[in-house]
This record gives sequence, C-alpha cells and structure tokens, in this order.
Amino acid sequence: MQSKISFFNPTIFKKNLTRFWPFALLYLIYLLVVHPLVIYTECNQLMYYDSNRTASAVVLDHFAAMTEPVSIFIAAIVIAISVFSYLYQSRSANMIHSFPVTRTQLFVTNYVSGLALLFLAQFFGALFTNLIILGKAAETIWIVWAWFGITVGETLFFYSFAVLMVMFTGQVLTAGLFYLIWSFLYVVVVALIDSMGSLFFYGIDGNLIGIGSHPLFPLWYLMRRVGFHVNDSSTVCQTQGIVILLAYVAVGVVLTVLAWWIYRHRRIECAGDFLSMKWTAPVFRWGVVLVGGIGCALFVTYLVNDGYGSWNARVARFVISLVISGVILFFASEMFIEKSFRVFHKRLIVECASCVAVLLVGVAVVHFDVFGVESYVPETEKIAMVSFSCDNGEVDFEDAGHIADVAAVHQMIVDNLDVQKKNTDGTGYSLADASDDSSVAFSSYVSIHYTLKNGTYVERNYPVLIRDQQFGEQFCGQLQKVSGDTEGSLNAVLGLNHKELDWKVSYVGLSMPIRSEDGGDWYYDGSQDVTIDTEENRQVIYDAWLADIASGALTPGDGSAESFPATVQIQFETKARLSQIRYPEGSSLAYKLIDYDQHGGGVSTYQDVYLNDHCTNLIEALKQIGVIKGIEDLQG
Amino acid sequence: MIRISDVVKDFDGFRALNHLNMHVPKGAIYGLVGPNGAGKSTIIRHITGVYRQDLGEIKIDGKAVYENPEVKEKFAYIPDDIFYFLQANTLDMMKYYKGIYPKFDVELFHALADCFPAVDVRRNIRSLSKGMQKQVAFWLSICCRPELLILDEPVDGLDPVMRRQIWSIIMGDVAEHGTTVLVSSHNLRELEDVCDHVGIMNDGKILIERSLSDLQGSVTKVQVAFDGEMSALPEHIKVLHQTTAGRVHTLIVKSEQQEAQRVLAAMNPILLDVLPLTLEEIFIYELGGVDYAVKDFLF
Repeated sequence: MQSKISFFNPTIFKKNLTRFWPFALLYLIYLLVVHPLVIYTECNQLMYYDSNRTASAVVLDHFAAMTEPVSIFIAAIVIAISVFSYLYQSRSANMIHSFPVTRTQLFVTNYVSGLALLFLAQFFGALFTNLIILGKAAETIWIVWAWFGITVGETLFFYSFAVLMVMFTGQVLTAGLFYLIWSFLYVVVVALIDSMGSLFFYGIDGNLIGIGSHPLFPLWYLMRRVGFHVNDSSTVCQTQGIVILLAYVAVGVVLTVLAWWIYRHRRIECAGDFLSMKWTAPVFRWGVVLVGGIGCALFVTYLVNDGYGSWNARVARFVISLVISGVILFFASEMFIEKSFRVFHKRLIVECASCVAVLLVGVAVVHFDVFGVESYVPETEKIAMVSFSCDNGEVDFEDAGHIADVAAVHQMIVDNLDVQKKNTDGTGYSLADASDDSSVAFSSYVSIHYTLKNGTYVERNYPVLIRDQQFGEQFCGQLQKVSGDTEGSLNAVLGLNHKELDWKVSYVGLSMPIRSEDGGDWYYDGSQDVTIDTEENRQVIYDAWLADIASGALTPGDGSAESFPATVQIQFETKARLSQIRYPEGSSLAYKLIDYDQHGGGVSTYQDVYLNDHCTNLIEALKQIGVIKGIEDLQG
Repeated sequence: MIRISDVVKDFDGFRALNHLNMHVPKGAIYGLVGPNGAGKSTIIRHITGVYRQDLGEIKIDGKAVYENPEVKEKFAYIPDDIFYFLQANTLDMMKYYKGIYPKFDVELFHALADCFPAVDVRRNIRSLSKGMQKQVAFWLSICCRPELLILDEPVDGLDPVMRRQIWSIIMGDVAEHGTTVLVSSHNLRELEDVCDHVGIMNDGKILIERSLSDLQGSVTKVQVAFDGEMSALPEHIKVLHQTTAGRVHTLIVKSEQQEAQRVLAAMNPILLDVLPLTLEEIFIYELGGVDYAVKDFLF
C-alpha cells in the first residue's frame, strides 16, 4: 500500500521491472560483449601477438577508447518509451489515470523504474568486467567502476532527455522521432547554416560554423570530452571531462523537472496524437518550415545548379524553392498534427504567410550580410594559430608577426570583395579560363584557417582572380611574404614544433606520370618513378625544395609558370609520438601523419612538390644527382 | 455522492461538455443514457479523474476528484474498453490492484472465485473472451471494496446470457454493500430494470435527471372509452399525448395515477384502464420536442 504523501508506488515499480526486464537484459548482453568479452579475448591474445604489452595496458586502453554514449543513447529512448508506453493508447492511459495515484507518483515511479533497468544492466556489466579483470589486471579495477560512474552520469542525461521527448507526444514512433530530431538538431542547423553560407557568401565554403564537438550535440560532445585519457605507454590513466559530465547531469535534472511538469499538464486525451501539448503546435510547424524549408530549398538549389549560373540566379532559385517548400511543409506538418488533410483554414493560411514572410526577411538579412560575415577578418591579437594555403603551398604560423602577415593577405581580399565576386562569380568557376587570359595578374585559390585563442575557428576559402596589375603586384608581394617563408612551410609539413621532433628525410622520389598513347590524359603506373637512394642526395633535394620555397617558385602567381606533370615526394620520419606533434586545426598535416608505431613511438609524413619551370633549385638538384638530364625529362 | 456543477470541456474547438450539471445520490443506481457522441464517456472520464475539466467542479463526497487519490480510492471504474497488461493473468492483475487500491480484499477475491468459474486465473487475460475479460474486471473491481462503481457501457457487445450475469454481479454488490452505481448506456431499455435514477444526456448536457419513482408517478397512461364524445379534462391534468381509435382514447397525461383515474372515472366512461408505461415513453413525453435526436436513441 502506498503512502498518501508518497511520490513513489512500489507496485507500479515492480510491475515495470517485471514487464520490461528483457530490454535491460539485451542491453546487459551488449555490455558483456563489448567489455568483459573483448577484454578477456585481448588479454588472452597478448602472449601471441604483443609480448611487451601488459593486461593492465589492455584494460586501460580499452576503457580509454570505449565510453558508452551511443549505446546509452539508444537504450535510454527504448526504456523511456517502454515505461511510459501506457500514455500512447487511450485504453491504457484512461485506465492507469483512473487509479488512485497522482500523476507525480506515476511520473516518479515510471522514471525511476526506467533508470533502475538501465542502471541494473550497467551495474552487472561492470560487475562481470570486474570479475574478468580481477584475475588479469586487478590494479585496474578502479577504471571499471569509474566507467560505471561516467556511464551512470551519461545515462541520467540521455534518459531524462528521452523522457522529456516522450512527454511531448502521444505516439510511440513520434517519441523516437522527436528524440532523434532534437539530438541531431544542432548538426542539421549547422549544416544548413554552412550550406547557406556557401550559397550567399564569398569565401565561405561550407565552413561558416563547422560541425564539431559542441555541447548542443551531446552524443558527440560526451564521446569526445568525457572518458579516460591514457598516456602513450598505457601505464597511467586519468578520467577526463568530469566537470562536463556533471554539467550534463545537472541539465538532466532540469529536463526531468520539465518532463514532470509537462506530464502534470499533459492532456490524457492526447493518446495517439502527434503532439501532447497544444502550445507546441506552432513551434512544431515553424520549426519544420525553418529547418525543413531551408533544407529542401538548399537541396533543390544545388540539385539544379548547372555550375555556370550567376550568383543572383542561384539565390533566386533558393528563394523560390524556399517559399514553395515552406508552404508545403507548413501544411504537411499541420496534417500530421491534426491527423487530417483538411487543414486549409483561414487562420492557418495567415500563419503560413507570416511564417514564409519571416523566412524571407531572414534570407534578406543573410543576402545583404547585415552581420558582416563576408568582410570579417579576426583581430590578430585574438588569433592563436593560422594555417594558410595557396594552391599546394601551405604554411602554418603561431607567431604574431606571421599571423599579422596572413591577416593582411586576408584583409586585401576582403577589401576587394566586390571586384573578387564579380571576377570569380563568387564560386571560382571563372578561374578555369584564367590561365588563358592575358589580363589576369593573379589567380589562385587561397585558404585560411584561424585557430582563435578562445578555442573557436574561422575558415575562409577564396578563389582569387586579380586583373588589376598594380593591385596584383601588391597582393603577390604580400602573398610571397607569407608563402615564401620556409619556416612556415616546415611548420606545415612537420608541425609547429618540428625543431624539437628530430625529423629525418627518409625517402625522396620523383614520380612521373605517362601520357596516354593518343596524347590525351596523363596516367600513373609507377614505371617512371625514380627513388633517390642516398642520404646525401636526399638532403640535396630537401635543401633545393626549401630554396625554391624561399624564391617564390612554389607560390602561385599570374600563371606564367609552366607546370610539369612530375612531382617530387619527400618523406619524413621521427621517433616522436603522434600526440607530441603540434599543428593548427585545419592544417593538412593532420591527414598526412602516419602513426606507424603506437607503442614504441614512430610517425611519418610526406610532402608532394608539384614542379614547374620556376623551380630552378629543384631542377638543378635533380640534374646534379643524375635523376634527370634536362628540363625536358620533367615535361613528360 | 457525485456532484457535477457547470462542467465545460472543449476538444480542439469542439465542446464535448457544455455546462453540464449532474447529481448522483448516495446509494443510487444512476443510469446515464444518451446517444453516441452525447458525452457520456467524456463525463465519466472526468468523474474518474482521467480528464481535467476546463471549467466547473466535479466532486465525490464533497471532494474534488482530479489528482486526489483519497477520493479515487472510493470508486472502481470499468471502462467500455478494459485495459490489461500484456501477458498478465488474473492473479497478476489482482496483485497489481492490491498494490494500487488500499482496501483491496484478497480474501474476497478468492471467495468470489466460485462466482467466476469460467475464468482461468492463470491464463493470459488478453486471450480470454470479451465477456470473460469483463467478468475479470468486475471481479477485481468488487474486491476493491468501492463505495462507488462507475461503469461505462458495461454490457455493450455481450451476449444476453453474459449481460444477465454481469447485471446480477452488479446487483449483488449493491444489495450487499449499498454501493452507489453510475452506469452509462446508449440504450435506455438496458437500464430500465436496474436503475433507480436516470439522467439523459445529449450534446454535452444533462437534459433531464429524475428518480424513477418521480417519473413513474408523474405520468400516467390510460385507455378510456365513452358513449359519446369525450369532454375536456380539467386544467390540472395535462394531456401529453392522445390517440383515438373509434371510441377508444389512449391518453398519456402528466398526473399521478390515482388523480388521473379519479378524474376520468368522474366522467362516466364505459371503459377505463390504466396501462403500464415504459421508461422510454415517460422520457419521450417528458422531453416533448426538445430534440428529435433524443427520441431516436430512445427507440
């Protein structure tokens, strides 16, 4: 018998456990497979594959690599829907709410039941893992229970979030749909903003914000920020992101209170309805139009983009698509809410018109760049690092002087926005003919990636085409100051701290593609490759490469240089660990580093040098070591 | 026992309950009758605390029902479409009810097993026939020792034998414990034999509610014949309906039976006979021309 002041009903709790235990069992089986079974297997394989590695290292590495947000994310919504499933059928909803229990009792009891099912599975998962580890690496048992603690925290957040979503609807499938939508809404919105940025702004190439690790995308954020950090030798392990986890737990508590409030005010007669709270209907309609309308309009705009349409034509296509898709989605969402096709009432037509008008005002704000996104250049004192590339010449800097030089190049582009947009149509498509145009003083593709001191990033990618000779000379001069900096190039190729890393040139080769028999396309089969085999000759090529960087031979310019099909590849190796190499976010180095010995230490990288007739130092060096006889050998 | 005052409930612009007033006296068997869509189930869901009214008051024993477990313990509710947990058998549901209703009588549950010999208590309730499911619902509800039984279409869809059985269970409980019963139906004939109070509902309102004795005492049906023309009746005997076949007149008059008989006898009829009046006829003539739809469901 329940107490009259109780918030909890043991009978309902017990009933929930006995009804929904199979879900918890499935979750437990998953946990047993991914934790104790994997650890047990890896530990048993140690003697065959890696005699230097200990069982402790296996356990620490396992938990460092494996936190549980994804499985918790799924289990939370399944359990939340299960324990509150009576709300989705009028038969069960009416019956349960006629019993002598308050809604608060029902909410608290069902909420706790769901949490108990999740926690029990996680507890037994940890317990079994503990038993497995006990015989192999007893000193690492703490990490199992630390993992359990982190998992409990993440479960509190995701489960509370799932329960909140369950409260907003009267349909099972919609509850899952809302959970997915709200979980990935940040990603979708950022993708839309980035795509709109690409459509409307010169220099924004799908990277206005960038989908990264953000608190509004908890699944990814928790995965990246919360868990364990193991040192390179897998001997020391520390928890990380506990404050973040606690913040999410606090948010979970708030979401729970909100869910409870909604449950108390929820209409029981909404069982089977799309939305349980009437006031959420306009939010839903406008949200669908805003996100879905922009998404559809972008999709249509890019789908029918022939690549040569003017910037204005693309914007016009976007606006027309936005209006049409906005109207369709508005009434479609109302049809879902009403469960009827008869939704064309005067009130809704007026609301739809208002919604579309608001969208168009938003488009106008973006179109006229009210917030100055296009002309934005970060203040140099706020920049921590910068990665700059012009065609294949990349430099990275973290010193104030060079950062100011890069910002100056950026400012020169921004100061000529109107001319640049006209010359390149904002897309760079016109660049295709730039090499044949004698009036072009400079043409290239400039990418700048700032890492700001506050941890955020700014990225711009400009197709630059300059016809004004005087400005072209000024721009090239500033560009040479940046791109011709050998230290900047080494920063980009070997890391900002390359002097501490003891890099060695491990390989130098000349790659030579072959022209097809009909004299058309180039193809590469490796038959013409030459490997430079002595350390001395490799050093000669390395020095020549640095000299060509300094001379500006590898900096793009007015197109007067004759490009060769041949490339020189220089490979580097260091005994340092991957984690020791520092580079700015956005640097291409991240994609080139190969961690070939994770335990002992060993990383390699490479640089492809695209030769042209201005690379006199490299050409001379290749001649000097006897790889080529003359420049004609590089022309294919 | 139940007092409903000026209750209003709207569903998305549709007014399901329109300033509804209703009173169910303690110990009464109150039949709530009305056509489909009249709002019977809606008001019952308000009385059981499932729905919250937009306006007005719903009280049981003087206390508001909504979110009040103390009041909700006093009644047992059997909806037209009963819910049982998936895979639950009668014993499981008994344990559940025992945990939910403080006054649930386990001994009575076992004692009543003989009254429900067809119900296999270990069999999944959802696999039982509809009639058996209803029996289980009554079994469980009676064991809650309710002061009030609220039944929404309790015999709807059941065969005549099962109907009789269900009504006998209800009557047995009423006789033994003096339980108040609120029972809804769209068929007045169903309620005629069991109810002592009746309320007629249409368009979200109670059109009329009376005790059966009041109703039956106030309207009388007589067959009368005279040698010549029938003279006019005194003013205090209001004729609600009159048909004539030859010299035989059938009258439905708004008057107590004895008074009508006295007045007509004084007019020297050659035939005077008081006929039984069905509940349906009483309501039809009481309601007069309020709403044609009401007549439809009565017949």
